[in-house]
Amino acid sequence: MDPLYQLIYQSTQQRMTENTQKSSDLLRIQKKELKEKSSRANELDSAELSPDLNSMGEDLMGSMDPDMFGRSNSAERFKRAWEEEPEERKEQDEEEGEEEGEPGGTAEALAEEKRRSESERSQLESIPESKSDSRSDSESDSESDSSETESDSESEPDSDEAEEEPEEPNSEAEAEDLPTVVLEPDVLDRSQASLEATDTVEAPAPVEAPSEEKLEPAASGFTSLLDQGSGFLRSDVKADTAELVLEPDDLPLPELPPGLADLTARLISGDSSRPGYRRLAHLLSRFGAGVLRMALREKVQVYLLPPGNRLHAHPLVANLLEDEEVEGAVYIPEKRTMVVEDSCVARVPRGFHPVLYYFAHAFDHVLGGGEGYASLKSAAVVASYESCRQSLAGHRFADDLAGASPVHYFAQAVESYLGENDSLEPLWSRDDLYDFDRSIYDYVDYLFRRINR
Amino acid sequence: MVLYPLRSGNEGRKAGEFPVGQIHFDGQTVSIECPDRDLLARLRELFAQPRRVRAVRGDQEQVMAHTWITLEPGTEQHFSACVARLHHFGLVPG
Repeated sequence: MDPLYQLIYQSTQQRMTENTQKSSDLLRIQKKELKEKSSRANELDSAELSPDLNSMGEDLMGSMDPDMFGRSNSAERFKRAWEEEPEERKEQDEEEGEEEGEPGGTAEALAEEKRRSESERSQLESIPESKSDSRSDSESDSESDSSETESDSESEPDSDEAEEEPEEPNSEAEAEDLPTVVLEPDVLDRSQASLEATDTVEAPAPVEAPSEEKLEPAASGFTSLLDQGSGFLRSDVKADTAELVLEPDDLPLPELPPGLADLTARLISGDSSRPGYRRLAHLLSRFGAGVLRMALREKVQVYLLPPGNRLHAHPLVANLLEDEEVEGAVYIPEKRTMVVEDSCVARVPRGFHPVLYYFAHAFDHVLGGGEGYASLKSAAVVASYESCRQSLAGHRFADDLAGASPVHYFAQAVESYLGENDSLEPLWSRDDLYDFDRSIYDYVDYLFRRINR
Repeated sequence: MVLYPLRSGNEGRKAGEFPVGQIHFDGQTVSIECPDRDLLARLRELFAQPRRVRAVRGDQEQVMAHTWITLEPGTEQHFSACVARLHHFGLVPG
């Protein structure tokens, strides 16, 4: 292509775009100015008044000042109609004022006019109803037409039709001014039904005894997943002092690996044929082979009492605790012996697992060697315990027993760590330990990983 | 004591940003301020009921044991036992 021609072509194109831009800008400015002008003069934008799309095109044209373009006169027509209406009203008012012989601006005249307009409106509303009424009258061989019914109801308020009226006029003046509206029988029925319904709200209907087929909300359980009141989304906290019937722990137990089964068999002394024995072996196996081996090395013993025997049945416990009431299990440090009630393992424990808790004491004792409990000397446990005692952020005791000493604190941490949320109303789960006392969780986690590796 | 809601996240549950109420123990009675009526009713129920807690028996030298005791409302121990159970309601004291 010739470069000269290309240059000319480009310059022409540029000029064209500039011109279109200029013209569109000009139009926009003009439109804005006109809008401002009309808003100043309180003129209505006809585009805003048009509800249908057919008239929108015309309105759009009309909004661009009809005087300028002279195509659409809808805006002008609307303006004219708007101005003519109040003039007509004024004229009517003046004529009425002259007829009554009173000036039209008085309050009484205004009130009279208002009443009249209301009566006119009610008459207009009652036209189809009165027509239908007259139709029903003709069917029942009554001679009166719709207008007569009106006059009858005015003159004879005790007539049958007047009795059917749902509302009686409050004053005589109102009764004279307002025409009576005779409602259709079905409308009356409906209104009466609604009146009866409101009465039943005030005076409660006699309560029927629920049938057996009907679901009672309390007994039916969860009616909806969003029913928060039924305790699905939130935990139901009941009085935990109530005596709970602890059900037998009959969850199926898998067979222990041979190594762990051997270790637990050497640790536990009791009747191996009982279900409690198996449950105890499974609970102890949660500590891991390393911990159990360590306990065996230090001659730790777990004594499972026969079913029905309380802890005081063991001579050592009876000697040491005498009349003190104890439950579940105990740990005797001097003998490195743990005594367990059969009911503690044969049934679902409440709050926590005493077996895990007291074997944690034994584990702590074993870790300390011959110099008492390791938790009393462990910097990690003591520091964490002190943090909980001072209620520092991110440190909390599970309960008062856990806060009794670092030994109790460590045992509770181990119980929570090994607990599988399988006790009834657990006091402190593994998640709780992780969330509310992370430092001791990390320490226990490290300890078990190191010993059981 | 200001109560915060527990919010679950990648790093476990943590106290939320905005408090949901306040509890105060004056030695005898517990006053609860909570705009959530449902939660208020549940908290009232929690602090009005007796609690069953573990108590230490024996000692570290001879025998370590425990028993369950019932705490009646109006005591410091009962109040702290109830506060320790607030996480069951999805709350945490600030």
